Amino acid sequence: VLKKIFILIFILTNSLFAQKNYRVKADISIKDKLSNGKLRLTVGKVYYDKIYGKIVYQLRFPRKETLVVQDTSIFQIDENGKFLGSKGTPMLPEFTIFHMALTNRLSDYGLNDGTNFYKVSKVEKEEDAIITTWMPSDPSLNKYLGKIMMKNVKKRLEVILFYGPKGDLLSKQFFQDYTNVKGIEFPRSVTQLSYSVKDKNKENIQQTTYQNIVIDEAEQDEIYRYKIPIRKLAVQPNTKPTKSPKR
Amino acid sequence: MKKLVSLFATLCLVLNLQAKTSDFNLDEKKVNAEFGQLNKLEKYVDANENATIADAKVAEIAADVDLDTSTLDVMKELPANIPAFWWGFCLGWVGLIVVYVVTDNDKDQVKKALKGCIISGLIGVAIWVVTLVVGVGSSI
Repeated sequence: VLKKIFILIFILTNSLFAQKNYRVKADISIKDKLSNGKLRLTVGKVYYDKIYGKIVYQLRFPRKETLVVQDTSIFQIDENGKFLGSKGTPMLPEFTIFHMALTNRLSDYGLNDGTNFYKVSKVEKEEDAIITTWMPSDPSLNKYLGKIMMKNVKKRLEVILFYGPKGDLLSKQFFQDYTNVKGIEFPRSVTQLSYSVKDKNKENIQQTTYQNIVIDEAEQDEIYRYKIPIRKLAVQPNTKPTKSPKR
Repeated sequence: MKKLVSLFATLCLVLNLQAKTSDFNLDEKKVNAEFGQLNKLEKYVDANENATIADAKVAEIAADVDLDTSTLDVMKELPANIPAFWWGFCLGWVGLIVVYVVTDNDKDQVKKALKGCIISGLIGVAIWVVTLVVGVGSSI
């Protein structure tokens, strides 16, 4: 009986701990090599609170500004709190590494979330790695969606490959240098290579590094729930972003 | 003939399922080489909290770098290259709007998202009909 009580307490404690992770903060540095040959460096801090559903980037390079991702929009605010503009973005917070890490869904990239759009079609073992191939659950979708392959080592997602319906590689992401903060597994380096469907020689490379990762920070609530200056937004006649300052 | 066609289809499927093992490898040397100039700039920015592009130029750090300073575009790209169809399929009309806005009304992409949206709706209706039929059948 005592053993069962201990097991029950262990399970309850675990589920309580699993529920409490709701915030992540990190120093972020994003390096891009664009297919047009240009380079981009973006440095700052990122804040995400899964309850508020906002991703807040407080950047200090290439200039001091704040970017807030909320629903399907991204808002740009300058260092004086002035609203500069907004743009549509497909980067829904639920699809990001922050949300997946906080909800412990990064190991399968959130594919096994109960919606069953993708299903496992093959599992292979390769030394210490598990290679999983996912295919669209409905075969009629094969015309539009390709397979997804994952490489996991010790349950950690290391590589994910996205293919087009014709089997051509669209994108690959490498998750490296994992750290464990308060039970949350977070990769400190993510490298993504994306390929153009039209021109195979064109590729974008993006390398994101995360440092000083903090989970469930109680302070700085005003940043996590960043209020976009609505009044300024309402009087703004054109919501398109202003041009980036020239170098 | 039918057998030949099905054999060919199976062969194609098997080949499609096999990823090149090289796809799982990251050519770190290549990536480091691509980011050689940016790495210098990154170090400079790390060491100087208030560094600006002008400061970096004065310090002759990455002076020749063709820098793109559009921060909004960093967040604009489709995450993980998820096809437009997927956005329409999973998020319905919201996904459709997302694709419309993000691709600046790229007709091809919007069409794919629309297909996803419609197929998703049809699957929902089919499930509803099957559930209804099964429910009525079992009650009789």
